This record gives sequence, C-alpha cells and structure tokens, in this order.
Amino acid sequence: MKINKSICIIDDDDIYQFIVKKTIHKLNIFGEISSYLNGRDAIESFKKNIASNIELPDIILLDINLPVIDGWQFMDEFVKIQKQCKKKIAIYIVSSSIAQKDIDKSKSYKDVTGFLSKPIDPDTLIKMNQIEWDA
Amino acid sequence: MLYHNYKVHEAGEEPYVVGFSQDITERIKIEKELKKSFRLVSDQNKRLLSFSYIVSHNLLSHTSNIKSLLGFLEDADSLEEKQQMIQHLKTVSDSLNETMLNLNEVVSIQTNINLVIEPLNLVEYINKAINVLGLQISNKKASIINNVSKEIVVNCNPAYLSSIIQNFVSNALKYSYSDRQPIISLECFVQGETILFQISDNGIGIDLKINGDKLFGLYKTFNGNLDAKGVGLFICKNQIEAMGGRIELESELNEGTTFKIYLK
Repeated sequence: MKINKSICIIDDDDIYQFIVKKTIHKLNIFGEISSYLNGRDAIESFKKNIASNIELPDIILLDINLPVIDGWQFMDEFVKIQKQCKKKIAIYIVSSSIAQKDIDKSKSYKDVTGFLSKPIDPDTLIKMNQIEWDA
Repeated sequence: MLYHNYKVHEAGEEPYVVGFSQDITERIKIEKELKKSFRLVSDQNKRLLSFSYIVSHNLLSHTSNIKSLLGFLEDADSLEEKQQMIQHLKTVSDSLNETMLNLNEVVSIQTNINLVIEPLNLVEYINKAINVLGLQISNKKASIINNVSKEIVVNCNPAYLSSIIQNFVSNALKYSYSDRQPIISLECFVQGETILFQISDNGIGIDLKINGDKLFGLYKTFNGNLDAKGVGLFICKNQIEAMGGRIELESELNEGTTFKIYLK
C-alpha cells in the first residue's frame, strides 16, 4: 500500500483551505499538499505537470462552486487529461451544498470517487489515505 | 361560445337537427386566471427553493469553518496558534455578516408586496447614475453614449431603477477590455406595452455557452476578478422581476456585452 499519498485542494475559500491543510498536517499521514483557488488554475497546472512528467496528486478534493471554471467544468476538462495520466486519481467532490441534484450529478461522473459534505472529518481523510487502488 | 349539433332520425319520422349553444366565456376566463396563478405559484416556488439552497449553502460553508476553527482553538498548543485561530474566526464572522446582509437584501426584494411603482423619467435616472459613477468613468476614460429619448417614462420603483442603472454601468466599467477605450451605450425601444432598455459595452464579454445559466446566480463569479462578489447581477435580476420586468443578455467573448432590460 502506498502511504503518504499526495493531496490537492481546489477551493476558493481560503479559510477552508487553511482548515483542511492544518487537519492534514496534524494527521501527518499525507505526502505533498497542493492547493488552487479556482478550477482553471488547477487544470492548467495539471496540464503543465503532465507535459513535464511531474506526477499529479493521488487525491483531489474539489469544490463545486468555484470562480472562472466551476467544479463540474473542471471535471469535464479533467476527464480529457486523465487519459494521459498513468495512475488512478481519487476525486472527491467536497461541498456545503445539500442539493440532491449536486449529489446525483457527482454520481454521473464515473471519475468521481465520492461526494463529501463540509466540514471534512479527519477520519474520512485517514480512510482516503488507506484505500488501495487496483493498478 | 360552445356549439354542439346532432341529427335525429327516428324510423317513420321526419329527420330533425338538435342544436345547443352555451356561453362559456366565464369558464374560459376562470381557466385562464387559474393557469396564470398556477404559473405564478410555480415560479414563486422555484425561486423559494433555489433561495433556500442558496441560504443553506452559504450559511453552511461559514458554520462548518467556525466549527473547525473552534476545534483547532481548543486543541491549540501555543498562545500564538490561539491568536491565529481567533484572527481566522474574525474573518469568518465578517464574511458571515456580509452574507447575512446580502441575503437580507434579497429577501426584502422578494417579499416586498407593496412595492411602490411610479412613472419615472428614464433619462433623469440615467444622468443621476452617470453622476454617481463620475469618478469611475473618468478613471477608465470611458465614453458614455446616451441615446435614450428624453420623453421615455418607465413604471419602476425609484430606488430599484437607480440601483439597476448604476449596477449595469459600473459592471460595464469594471469588465472593460484593457486595450481599448470603454464605450458604453444606452438605448431604449418602445415595444407595445413594454420598454426595452439596452446597455451595451465593448468590454471583455462573457462566454455564454459556459457561463450562461450561472450569470444571474448568487455568488457566481467568472473572471477570477477579486472585486467580483457575484451579488450585483443577482440583486438586479430580482429587482427587475419584482417590478414585473425581465432581463436578457447577448455577449461575445472579447467583443462586449448587451444587457436587455424589459420594463413596463
């Protein structure tokens, strides 16, 4: 099992980013932590990383309500670049939305691993790190 | 009128025709009224539902932050860490407060049943808005072309009309294209009972294919512009609808945007 998975937070709320990062640091089980304030910055950086053979994060925590391009638009773009990426990336939609239509929509993307409500529980993060992917 | 005829032909008797006619004007009138109020209620219902999602989403994002920060505060090892958490709590409290103010404004628009609507001279209100935005206009070296005829009178709420014109003109200034002088033109067309008030700019435009359905949503921003809070257009749309109007837009990325406001 790969321990110390790398994790990426895509969320425009900087307080929330601070909270998740602090929780992750406290847990001390993850590898590299990266973060983006909107979907476009994240996608552009991922594209660059693929081009220069830098590994993408193992886990992505994605908010839906994002400026410039939102979480769903990010997913549409991500599906396109996912093919060029050799490893499996776990994407969790993390939202304070309680709208059933958002939960249903997240299920319609086969690349979305799960839907989580804010705030994220540390135990959920621990479990995320433990899940092993079939190569 | 409802007509119904049929022929009766009994054996050994002369055939004859029986005809009924009934005035159903009242019935049709009632049906129309019923359909109208049904539409009204379903529209209201849709708006309430989307508003309740907005409320819960916006409050939840703050309350979950408060909960997490308080947890950190309790577990903090040093005074410095405690102070950092308190600082963050203050930030959350400020944004929660701002959210509440915005939501309050929306509620007051949506629940204002006795909204004062009066005939207002459109040009007068345009001039007022241009005056208020004078500094922004001269900073951007923008040119405002007002083609609205002096006689145009719209039935609006004075405060809403001011806020709508100011919002759209200041939006056009905010999203101007950096390499060219901003030109904002205001036009007005009378179309039967409705008045089409049009505000066009030569700004950065917006990709409607990607953002069309989100444009008037609350807290939706598109350009990564830090001043953008995603409140203005949402409030404007609500104000226009509260006065019985509607809004449409046309936009071309890098070319400009035209907002079409239909008023009565």
